[in-house]
Amino acid sequence: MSHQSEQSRCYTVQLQIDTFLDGELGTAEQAFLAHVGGCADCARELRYAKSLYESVLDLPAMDCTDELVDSVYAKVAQTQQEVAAVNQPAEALREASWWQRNWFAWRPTTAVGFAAVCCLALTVSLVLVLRAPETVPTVAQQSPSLPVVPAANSAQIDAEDVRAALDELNTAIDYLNRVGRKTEEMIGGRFVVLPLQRNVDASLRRASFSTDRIEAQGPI
Amino acid sequence: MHSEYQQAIEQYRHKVVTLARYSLRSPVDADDVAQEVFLKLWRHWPNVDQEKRLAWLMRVTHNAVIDFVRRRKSLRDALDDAVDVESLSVDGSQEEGDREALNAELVAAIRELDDPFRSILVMRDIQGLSYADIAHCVEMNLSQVKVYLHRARRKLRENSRLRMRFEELAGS
Repeated sequence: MSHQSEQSRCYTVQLQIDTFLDGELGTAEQAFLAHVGGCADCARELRYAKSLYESVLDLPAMDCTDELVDSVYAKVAQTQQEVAAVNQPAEALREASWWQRNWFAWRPTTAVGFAAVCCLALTVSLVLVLRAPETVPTVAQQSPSLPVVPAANSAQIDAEDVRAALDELNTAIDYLNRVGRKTEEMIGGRFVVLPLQRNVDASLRRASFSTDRIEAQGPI
Repeated sequence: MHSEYQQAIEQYRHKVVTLARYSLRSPVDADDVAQEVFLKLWRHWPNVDQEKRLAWLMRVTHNAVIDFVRRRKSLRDALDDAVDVESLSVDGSQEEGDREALNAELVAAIRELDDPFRSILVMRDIQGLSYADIAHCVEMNLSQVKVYLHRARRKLRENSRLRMRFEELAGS
């Protein structure tokens, strides 16, 4: 065998040393051992590799001290306490009664609902107030008892009182006319104002008669 | 505290610390890394598969060591700033002293290996983890793990200081 091929063979064998030490060389083990048996360099290298390998295997495992483990447990316990402190409100809520839990849960909804009802009530009130027609007197109210002075009492009425009553009556008729125009769509002028006007005119005529008579008779 | 968590700590505490201490020379730094790993286990407890707890711990330790070294800017900084008194303690007979000195040299040589050579060597040859667990830890397939393991051993053999120490011991 040439020197070069011998060197190449030694190189290959020395690469196989670790596989051999692992017992995994398989069918190449025979050739490996045969070469090592006849090659001093490779045999020396194998001896060194084996002793080194065994020395590594004999290296002790390092002890983990109890102090280290205690410090780990202390930190874990501290972390647990911190987490518990953070989660305490949630746990308290879980332990609360059904009503308390749901009150907490519903509180925003309840507040919003209450506000909505208040707003609705306010709006309805405003609409009712703003849309409320100026107090429309009923027919009875619109035609208050006219100061139809009974003839029997007319002699007892002062002429000034009659004139004042007539002024008030005209004022009332003007008012009713205005009301009648404003509420035309609701009650219709012809249903309220015109009949009322007629009644008033008739009353005025009677009152005028009475006044004339009073004036003719003079103060009582 | 979760009793299952405590059981897991008791079961795997030495493996986590071993990987950390063989990776970092300073035992104080290694313990800091181990503590970080145990606390991560607590935080991720519900998500850690019970069957793969050891592999999870080894992977997290491996990553924590890498992160630690990165934080220190270089492995050399971490190696130079402290002395592992535990593995370097030499007392007793001459033979024991030689053996301790050899082990100290060996540990130093292992720590000088780059990742993932170092972690794979420690997990396989010192901790005895299966190839499957190691593959899970370092996110490689089995063949890659074996290749890296053999390269790690070869790198150790190529350490001239270590070889000299072995030859001295063999000669004596």
